[in-house]
Amino acid sequence: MQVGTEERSDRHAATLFVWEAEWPERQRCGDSSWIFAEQEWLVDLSEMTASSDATSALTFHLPQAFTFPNGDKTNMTARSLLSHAGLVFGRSFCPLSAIVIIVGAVLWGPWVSLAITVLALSAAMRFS
Amino acid sequence: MSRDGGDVSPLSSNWRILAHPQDVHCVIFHTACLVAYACAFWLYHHPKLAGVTGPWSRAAFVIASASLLGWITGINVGVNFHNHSHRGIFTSAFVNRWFGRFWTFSGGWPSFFWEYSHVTVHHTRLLSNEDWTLPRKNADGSFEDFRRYVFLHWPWRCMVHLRRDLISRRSLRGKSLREFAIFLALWSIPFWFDPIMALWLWVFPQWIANAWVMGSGMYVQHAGCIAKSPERPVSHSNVFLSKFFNLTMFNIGYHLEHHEHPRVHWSELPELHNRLKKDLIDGGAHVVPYGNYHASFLLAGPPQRRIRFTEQHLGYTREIPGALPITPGK
Repeated sequence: MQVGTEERSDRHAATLFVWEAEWPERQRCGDSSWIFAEQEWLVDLSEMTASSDATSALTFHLPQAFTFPNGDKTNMTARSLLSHAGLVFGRSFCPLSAIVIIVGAVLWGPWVSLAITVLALSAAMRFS
Repeated sequence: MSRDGGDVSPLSSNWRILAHPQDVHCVIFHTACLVAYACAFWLYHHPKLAGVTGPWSRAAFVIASASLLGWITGINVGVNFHNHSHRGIFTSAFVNRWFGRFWTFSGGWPSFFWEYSHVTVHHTRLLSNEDWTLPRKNADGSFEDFRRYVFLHWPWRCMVHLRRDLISRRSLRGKSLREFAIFLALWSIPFWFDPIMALWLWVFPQWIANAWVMGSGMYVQHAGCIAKSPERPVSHSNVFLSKFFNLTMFNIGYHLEHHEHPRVHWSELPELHNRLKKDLIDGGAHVVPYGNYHASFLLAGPPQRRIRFTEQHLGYTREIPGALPITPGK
């Protein structure tokens, strides 16, 4: 899809503004190299979906810490870390659960593992 | 260091392994899957630790482990590697190729074969007669029975088509045979330790993964769909909006968006969905509030249950002025 030059430059400028605002926090966490990768993907997505408004991609990428009104950086980092840990657990929920159920047989035996497996798969079929 | 040797800024010259920061989740997921296999193998050989005291408790352990391993392998190859096949997760082509080989062998596939069947066959020939990855069609254009597809597709139909498309084609034969040899070398590893264990905790999970997890996924993602046309541009795939499903399945529920823009990174699909939402509603896209698993449950059932799959997500119904609300399934 074609993007108007003016619209595109506005979008890129807005994107850069957001990333510059995040920069000190990311640098402190040692996360300096990925910032440019994120920018590339943002631009990539913006170009592929140019028919939509320019701001939604930006709000999507804003870390929730930036919504803190008091601007407490310590809290922001802790929240960010918790958020990342939660995301790691959420994304790998299935294999981590499988490991727990398989290894759990050591604690509760194979029959309980089988029962948990049947329940988990039934719940997935019913609700997810 | 810049590959083309040009000047780069000090920040962008930092060495990066992953092509996208979110791809770390792909690596963690795959590693966790291999750890799950290792745990199952180890406990199989230490039965007393796992409370296995006889043939029945061994059967319970094997069924539980194989079901779980099959479930996660289906996701690992059918969704996780799938993302990699569209967009390599590493910045190095060499690492992408070899990590891919170590990715799909646990799912019973050479990576090149899976990539070919998905990208070349499924994406470029979606819902045409040449798209042999999907269920065959009945005379009325609907998909064949769910169970028939699940039981016949992998490995039987796959073997026939892959042999014809890759092994028998002179231009691809050398590469295909080389990839198959690498796959065999990796895939056979569990057999070196214990062939019986390999059958129960390696081959059996792979059958569950391919037939039940990936097979059912392919079925529900395109059930009731028609090939893309100017009149029906967004009716080629179904959209599944369950948040939990998409969180744990790398956003594969946004399947229509994925087929429309396969190069968009999996982590960006929810945002892409929001941007395309109006087009989806106007185009009459089929959107449901649950995930693939519940869709499989519906489509594998009797006709009165199958009809529930045609119901539309309430937030995605077209508003026609003066029209009465439609009761799905009637």
